[in-house]
Amino acid sequence: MYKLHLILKYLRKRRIAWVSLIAVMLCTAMVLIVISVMGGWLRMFRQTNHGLIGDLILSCRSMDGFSHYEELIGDLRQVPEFEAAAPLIRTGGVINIRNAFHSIVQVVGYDIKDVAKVNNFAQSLYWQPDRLYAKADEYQKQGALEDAAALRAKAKAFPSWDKLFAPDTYRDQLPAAKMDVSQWTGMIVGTNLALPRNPATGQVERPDWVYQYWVHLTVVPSLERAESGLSGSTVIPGWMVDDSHTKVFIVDANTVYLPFDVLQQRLNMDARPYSDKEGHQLTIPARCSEVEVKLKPGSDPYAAKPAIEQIVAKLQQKYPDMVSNEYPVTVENWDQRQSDILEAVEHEKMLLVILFAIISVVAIFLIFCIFFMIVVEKTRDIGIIKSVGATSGGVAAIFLGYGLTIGVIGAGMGLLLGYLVVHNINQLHAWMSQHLGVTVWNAKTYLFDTIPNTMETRDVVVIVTVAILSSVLGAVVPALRAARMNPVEALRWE
Amino acid sequence: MSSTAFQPARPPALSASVILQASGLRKSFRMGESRLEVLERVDLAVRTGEFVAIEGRSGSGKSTLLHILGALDEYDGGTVIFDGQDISRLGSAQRSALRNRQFGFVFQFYHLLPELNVLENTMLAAMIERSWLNFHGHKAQIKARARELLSELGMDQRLRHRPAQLSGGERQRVAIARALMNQPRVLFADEPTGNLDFDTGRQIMAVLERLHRQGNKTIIMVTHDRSLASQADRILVLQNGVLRPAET
Repeated sequence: MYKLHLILKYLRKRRIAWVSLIAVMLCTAMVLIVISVMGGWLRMFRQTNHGLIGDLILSCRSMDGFSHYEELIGDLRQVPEFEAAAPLIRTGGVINIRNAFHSIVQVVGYDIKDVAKVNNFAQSLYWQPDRLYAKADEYQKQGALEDAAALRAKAKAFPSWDKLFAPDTYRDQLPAAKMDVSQWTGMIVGTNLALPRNPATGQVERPDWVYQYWVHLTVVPSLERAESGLSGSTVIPGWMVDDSHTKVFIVDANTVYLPFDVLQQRLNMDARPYSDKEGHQLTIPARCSEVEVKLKPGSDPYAAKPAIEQIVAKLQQKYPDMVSNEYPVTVENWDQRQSDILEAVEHEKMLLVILFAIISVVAIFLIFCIFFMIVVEKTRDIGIIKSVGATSGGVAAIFLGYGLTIGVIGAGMGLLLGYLVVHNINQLHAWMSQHLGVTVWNAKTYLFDTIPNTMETRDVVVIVTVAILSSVLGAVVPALRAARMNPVEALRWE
Repeated sequence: MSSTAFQPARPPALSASVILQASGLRKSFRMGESRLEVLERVDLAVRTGEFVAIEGRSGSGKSTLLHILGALDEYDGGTVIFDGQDISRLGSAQRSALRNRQFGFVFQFYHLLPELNVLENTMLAAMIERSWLNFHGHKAQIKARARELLSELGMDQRLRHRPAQLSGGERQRVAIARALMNQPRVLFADEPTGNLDFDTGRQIMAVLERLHRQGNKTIIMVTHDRSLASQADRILVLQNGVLRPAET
């Protein structure tokens, strides 16, 4: 009984104990914030990157890509874990948006319906069906019935390359053009590429006229497949019909998406007839750069990979011209594709663990020092308690319990502080940027434009437990010293 | 002032049996290279209900003797028998239990816990004796006992005060109440008035005397003051490490 009573009394009356309590609180909060933000960033990085590229990627390093991808996808259906696959083309280009913005970009050709089954591209689009219907209702009220109908059609066909507004809206943009510009292809740009931003808040703004921007995309077709034998750049005209926010800053800042067949044709990668020397009419098969594969939920990409590699090898044997040069088609898991970055990120995680260990050692040492001071200061009290009948174990239990109580309260307060900071970290960061001019989180460095603000239960449990154990550990030596004290010497202590 | 709180827990023995006995007690301290023999051969027998005063000059070893008799300190040789039991053979926990239930201590410097108030300091021995559940099960009784003791000692108006808010005499009264809380069979008083002025010292001595006379409490008091010692049944003098009866 006296142990609990004295622990609570010491906690309330000894201000020095508050120092260790605050130390435990700050250490716990600091580690929680760092682990939540950096750990959250690691998780976000893995999830987002996984979401960008499906479970497995079949690709070759040649700019010409590989052929017979349709047969390949058909064969992949034999793999039990297989769920869906989509071909795509990845190349480089130069974008010109309305003569107002130029940039070197990564160009991705997607079959938007297929790719929606494989990765999270469809979810990254701003114009989701609910937004399109809401916008359609708005236009309906204004009497713009054709635009409202176009918006509803786009919502119904989601995801699609359809333009947001009626064809006349686009014709009016380029009245001098001698072609039906409304037939130009739809293009989707990364959110951070060309959308205007509010100068005060830095937030992306999406006025309707943004989705009436014309876009000219210059790409370089395959040299080997060019009919002239010369490779010249080609311009693909289009309209900006949507923007994609994958949350990976660099992807959203330099990627343009357009229909797979349009890009395939303009890069000379589509199927083409030709005559051999004997005059036989043949077809050069269509090509793609990559095939992204989605596996059934719960499947292990590493388990499915050998079967897929076998299928790819068989097809390459069957069609020696499947790849146009020495680069074979390779199969990679999504994390192998991103291994360079993921390994760096894993090292960062290790650094965090070491940091956490150092912080824990500092906290233990701090508590040890404070408790040692308390025990020295309380030497006479220990003598008094022992003279009234307390055992050595009881005296040790007072100081261990004291450490435990400080650990529990400090870690609890640290958890509360950490929770409040982590869950409001973006607002805090915005306030700091606005009022103090301090910007810690740079989207260009950390890839994402928002700071991760979620806490993992497992992290919380580990951190709080370590904080409490550190407090008890810091109290062990002082508690043992107190327990071993001779009561007479303790009573005479000055 | 009623005296119910000072009533002994058990009726005093009909025959005055020896409750505490020391034989051939030796104790020395290391002083650098040499050893200082404080107790060379101490023999003592205290009977139940007896008030024994041990007199001696400062540094004569009387406090050391009291601590040894009260199972607070170790000794080099000899035996200490309490109620037929050799306390040197007891384990640490048993010695703690002895100090908690059978012995009560009153020190010169009061030795109250500064964080606890008067009532809590008084209940300390009961808190140590009992588990959390047991204490809360008997809390009302324990509090009533502590209040009664404090009331007997004239401290009933200061229950919520902390030691720093009390005078020396008041602190010593609280220390006496704490020592009596678990109805000990032997009360050890180490220079109980040594830190008090004359009048307050007399009041404290009056309390001890009342405990002895009305409560038949066995008291062993050490003092350097012959006038205080003379209030005891028997005076012993500790000199040169040996205890002998005082010359009248």
